[in-house]
Amino acid sequence: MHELSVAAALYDWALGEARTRAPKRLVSIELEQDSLSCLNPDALRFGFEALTADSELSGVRLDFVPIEPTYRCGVCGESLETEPAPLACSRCGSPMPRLSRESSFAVRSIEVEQP
Amino acid sequence: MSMKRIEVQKKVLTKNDEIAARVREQFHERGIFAVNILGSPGSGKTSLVELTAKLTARRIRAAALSGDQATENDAARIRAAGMPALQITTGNECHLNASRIENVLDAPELAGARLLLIENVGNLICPAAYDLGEAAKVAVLSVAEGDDKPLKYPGLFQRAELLIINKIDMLSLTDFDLERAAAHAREVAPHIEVVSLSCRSGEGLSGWYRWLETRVPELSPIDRSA
Repeated sequence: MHELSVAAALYDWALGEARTRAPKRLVSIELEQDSLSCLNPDALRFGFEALTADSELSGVRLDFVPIEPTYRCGVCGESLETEPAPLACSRCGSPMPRLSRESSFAVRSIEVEQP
Repeated sequence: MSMKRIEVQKKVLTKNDEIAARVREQFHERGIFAVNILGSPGSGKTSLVELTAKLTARRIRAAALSGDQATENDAARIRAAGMPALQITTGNECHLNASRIENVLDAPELAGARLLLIENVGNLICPAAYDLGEAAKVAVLSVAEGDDKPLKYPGLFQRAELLIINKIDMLSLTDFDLERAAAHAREVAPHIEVVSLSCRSGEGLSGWYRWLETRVPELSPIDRSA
């Protein structure tokens, strides 16, 4: 439902990136996404295509890579990657690891075409 | 022509997170404890803010921001309950974002506030993804919605510090099981605190007040013997 505003944020970033990399042409963007990102790849793709149509980003492809959510122990700082949510830290045993803020949705890489 | 892959590792909502960090800094400097209240339409977010207005009146300067796609109804209700409130209409957007909060930081309604209740757009999905610079997210779930919602919408509950189960005065009319709801919430969010209450009857409100009290030192103890 909010994919269009996420697509708009992605569009702004990609436009800057494409201009920085010119004359190389931006071909694709690889996105990593965990199950808690609340984003539907198809809806995001649709929004991105609508925004980039007739722009210099027209035809740029979005590739999605599923990842696991990340949790962090509040006591020892251990990063935990498990599904479902871990009940305790696997290193120090402290209860209630929290969802890591870095989790969820990010650009992993881009693909450019050399002229 | 040759293709080349370049590693980036960049969060897509970085811009929102940057603005949220600025908002959080502002809240910190001004001594404002900001709560982001999330839940379905009709779960009782506005009712909770109205009751909090009455609970905190004369104890602390509090204010509210209310997000909706359309109408000023919620802010009007909160103002009528005695709390300065500002409506943020989002138009077609299904969530509040940090820039909408930053835009109203200097609004007169917020002047001198120590507690800020941000009522998000009614929605269990999108608002969870946007940091508003708040100190804590609070999820509101009502009995009529069913006790399985934490399992169905884990993203929201995992980001919340507190789950408020509202409309417990309706329990006898439904198959909602308070313990099952709390267990489902802890299954996806082991850290979450749970308070059950009814904004309509007032039952259980002290649990919510106690949660606020431990975070906002200016809130003097209330008489809970009543």
